[in-house]
Amino acid sequence: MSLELHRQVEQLMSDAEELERRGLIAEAQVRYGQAAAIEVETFNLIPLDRPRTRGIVAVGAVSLYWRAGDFVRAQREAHRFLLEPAIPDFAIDQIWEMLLEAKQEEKARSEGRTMSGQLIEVSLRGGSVGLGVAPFELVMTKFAQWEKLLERAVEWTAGLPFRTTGTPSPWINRLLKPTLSEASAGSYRFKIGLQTPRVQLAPAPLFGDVEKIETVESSIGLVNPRQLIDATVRLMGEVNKPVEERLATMVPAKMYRDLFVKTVRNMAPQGQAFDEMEVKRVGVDTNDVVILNRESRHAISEYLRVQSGNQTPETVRRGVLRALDLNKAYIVLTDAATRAETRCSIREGAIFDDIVGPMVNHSVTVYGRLKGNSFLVSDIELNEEESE
Amino acid sequence: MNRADLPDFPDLCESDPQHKGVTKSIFRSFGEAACLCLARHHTSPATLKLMTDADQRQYNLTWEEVTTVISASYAQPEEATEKAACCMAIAACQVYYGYYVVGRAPKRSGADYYLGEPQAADDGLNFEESFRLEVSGIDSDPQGGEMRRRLLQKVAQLRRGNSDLPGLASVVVFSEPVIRFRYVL
Repeated sequence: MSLELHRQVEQLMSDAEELERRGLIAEAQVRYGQAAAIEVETFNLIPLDRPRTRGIVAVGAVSLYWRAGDFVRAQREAHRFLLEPAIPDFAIDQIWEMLLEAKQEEKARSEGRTMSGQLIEVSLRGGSVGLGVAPFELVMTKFAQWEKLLERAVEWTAGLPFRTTGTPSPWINRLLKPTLSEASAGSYRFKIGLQTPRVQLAPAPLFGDVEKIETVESSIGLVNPRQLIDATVRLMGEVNKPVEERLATMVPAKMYRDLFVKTVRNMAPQGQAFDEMEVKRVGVDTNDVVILNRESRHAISEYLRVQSGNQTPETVRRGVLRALDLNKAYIVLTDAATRAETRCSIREGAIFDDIVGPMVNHSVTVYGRLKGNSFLVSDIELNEEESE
Repeated sequence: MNRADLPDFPDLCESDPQHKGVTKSIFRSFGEAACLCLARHHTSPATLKLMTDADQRQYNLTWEEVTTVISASYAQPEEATEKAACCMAIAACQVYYGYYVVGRAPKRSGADYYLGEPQAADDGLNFEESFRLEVSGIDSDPQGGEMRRRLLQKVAQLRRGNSDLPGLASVVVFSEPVIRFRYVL
């Protein structure tokens, strides 16, 4: 009996997927809902001496309610299954995960938004990172770097011209709002998701130039969250093992390319604060996993050196980044011991707010050359071990 | 060995009734995709190579003629390759391991299907001794580099999945044609 019911579930799932493929989402959700109800019935028929089967079917039932868009029912069934006997640990973990995600979706919907379902899981390991805990400074820096990377990835994916000054368009947060989920044990992990509006927002005049506003808004509005997350993770993978031809094919615009390379380089470990950052997609059948470690950082730095055409090593200066004015193209470093301040000019197109913003009031290393009395900066890196 | 002497690979468009976790119609659609993907590179019959870490076998592979309706049904080559690979991997598990599909795997499990021994209909649903099957399809890979890379990815995916069941990672390359399996504990 349970076998026959489960086969009905399989058929309904298959029908639903076909409907989804044809864009008939509402009809697909009805099928998923029917399949979920039958899967719950199936679960009730499985004896206690088949815990794996019970676990797999319970996970399937919650997942189907999720796919039906019935988040209330998904949560209710998840709670019930968690109280059931003979449910194996792997199933409990999955049900918990879906329960939390269903709550997030319900909350987002109450605000007229929806979780896009596109998630990146970031894990920090080693160094001073423990199970579920990490130094505050490190976590805040990584959050800030991820925020900047995603903002730029949205602009790049939307086909917008490279932004050399100013802040990102407010449409990014209205149309593709990055969100952070809770950390979980097992290293220090967090999930990054994208919320999108459930309905298209009406364009509102946020800037002076209405024509430009609508272009920016519509460009960002057309970005598909899945493609964005896919592209971001693939991009990180390419930067992790940089080959100019491959990077240039993926990101033809040099300014975007250079910025992404430097951003990913700065995300990789440098000191002893942590040993690696693992980045992977969640809940999709893709295998893109990127591991940024010290070797990554070294390889990316070497790539940048070759790209810059510098045959001789640049001059290095260290200090705390105390001030910057990117419009006037300078930064101010303070010597940690003497408190002496040094003003350094920025080479055109070398440093942008995304890179330098999270470094303010942190120890940094700058690379550049003396030109007359001025030190011309071409690159900047955070000194993690001194900042932690 | 002559192809005529090789064991036959299962019918690509007709599922064995022991596959309790995939309906005939779904398997048929996978099979049609497989015919399409194979016909891109070969004419029926062809020799299929099946490889595991410890073994290598060959099978006599035949498939139905690809109709214009089948061709038109798969506008996206990636979708056809993905479904076709499912058909080939399921059939290969059946003929090589004697395992059958017992169910679809949910997202996050790291796999596509659950496989197991043939089940009696009156025994009820039973995944207790099953394992996970993860499938990947490649249209063309003359050097074999992409197949190796994809196999490692699939192994990693199975290891990361939220499941304590063992797994079988499989990669199907249609240009050869070849199926590569790796067992994951």
